[in-house]
Amino acid sequence: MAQKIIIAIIIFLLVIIQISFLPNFFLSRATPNLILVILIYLTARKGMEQTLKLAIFGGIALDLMSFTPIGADVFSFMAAVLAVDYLAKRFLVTHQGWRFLIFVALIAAGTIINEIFFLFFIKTFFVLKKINNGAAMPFDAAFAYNIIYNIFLFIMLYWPFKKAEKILNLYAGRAELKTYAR
Amino acid sequence: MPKKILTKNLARFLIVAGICLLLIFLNPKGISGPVQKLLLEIAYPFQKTFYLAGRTISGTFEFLGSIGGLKKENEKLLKENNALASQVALLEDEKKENATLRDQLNLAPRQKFNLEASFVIGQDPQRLGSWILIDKGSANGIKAGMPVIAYEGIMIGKTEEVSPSSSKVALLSDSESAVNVNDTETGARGILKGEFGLGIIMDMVTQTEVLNVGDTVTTSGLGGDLPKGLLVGKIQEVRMTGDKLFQQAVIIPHVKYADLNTVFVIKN
Repeated sequence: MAQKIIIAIIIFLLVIIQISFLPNFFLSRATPNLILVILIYLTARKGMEQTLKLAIFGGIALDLMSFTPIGADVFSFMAAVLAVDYLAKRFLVTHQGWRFLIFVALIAAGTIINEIFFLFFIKTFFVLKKINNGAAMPFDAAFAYNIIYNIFLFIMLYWPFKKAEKILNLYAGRAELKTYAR
Repeated sequence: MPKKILTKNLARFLIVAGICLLLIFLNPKGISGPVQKLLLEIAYPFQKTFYLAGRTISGTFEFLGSIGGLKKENEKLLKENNALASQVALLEDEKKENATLRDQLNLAPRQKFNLEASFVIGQDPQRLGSWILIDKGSANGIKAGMPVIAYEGIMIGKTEEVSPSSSKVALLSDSESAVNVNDTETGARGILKGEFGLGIIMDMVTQTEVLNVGDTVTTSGLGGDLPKGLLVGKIQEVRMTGDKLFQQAVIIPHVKYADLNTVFVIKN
């Protein structure tokens, strides 16, 4: 339970960073998606089963805090996680030597899937709610910028991720040893 | 084995996708409104801290990057300052004349706004690029639909969703934004619409009206929800609508929405 609360707090803080910190450094219509990058990394490392709940919770939190129609980010995160899980199982296991580059490719693929599904959801929302210009919603350069920004963010976070994983594994190993000792 | 996992995962995805799409048909704001308000309340201090920290850091980077251009900019500003000084002198003269004419015509002085100064604490992180979050809410007397300006009467949008300590401001570039405006030089009237954060256009201008590139566009006050005379921007391009029934003008806003730090909500 305590672990779940900690994860919820971390996601909440990530959403705040996404909305209030990152837009200061990037173009107004394109910002790296911190939660998506973390979700893609965790899905590639641990599989979809471990990240599904995170995708749903992160999506709801981001939708609520960023005033997008509820479900848009949940839907697009889920699609990205599903695609990344499939691709990671096919390529990451068999090409261990190309690990970093495959991660970069997964970030790009995950971002593209996320963007397409997000736009699809929003367009559906606009059309169903009869909001003006719904069909004319852009599919422009911001799309490409988002891919580049997410890769950039991933490169910045890759080594801290690895470090954090090592530390967590170490703690998990100690905890296991204690259990065996008992 | 992988095929089985994929099927199971696909089934999960389809269930969640179905629920998400179903949410569109239900009233999402009605359901999520209280949760959203609570989340915004909890997030408020963190958002303010993160936004100000981000501004400071990006400002430092920008300053370091712009040192080379400072000399040129300084010279340009000096020239501009001189030009403005002469303009001020001219305007002072016109102000006196205006006051005299108002006295003669028995007109009331221009409306003074009851302004609430607010800091920007968040921006649209998605690709819709059409809202900002400010640090004042219903506790400060702000209600939905109030006009929001930057500096001296430059209209930037309207408050849309208000929580006790923060408010969402839908910018003029919002796809749902619709404001009655006119061309101050020619008097042409139209409706200002946003284009998903891409820009703003003055639409529904009849063929008989005149629109010129470079003309200033202000709010017309029609409809009564916004004060008259708030500056919106300048006309960059004039074109016909697809059906050739109306004219449209592409408007360049006077301020860059992404760089806003402080804004003012007009309360009266």
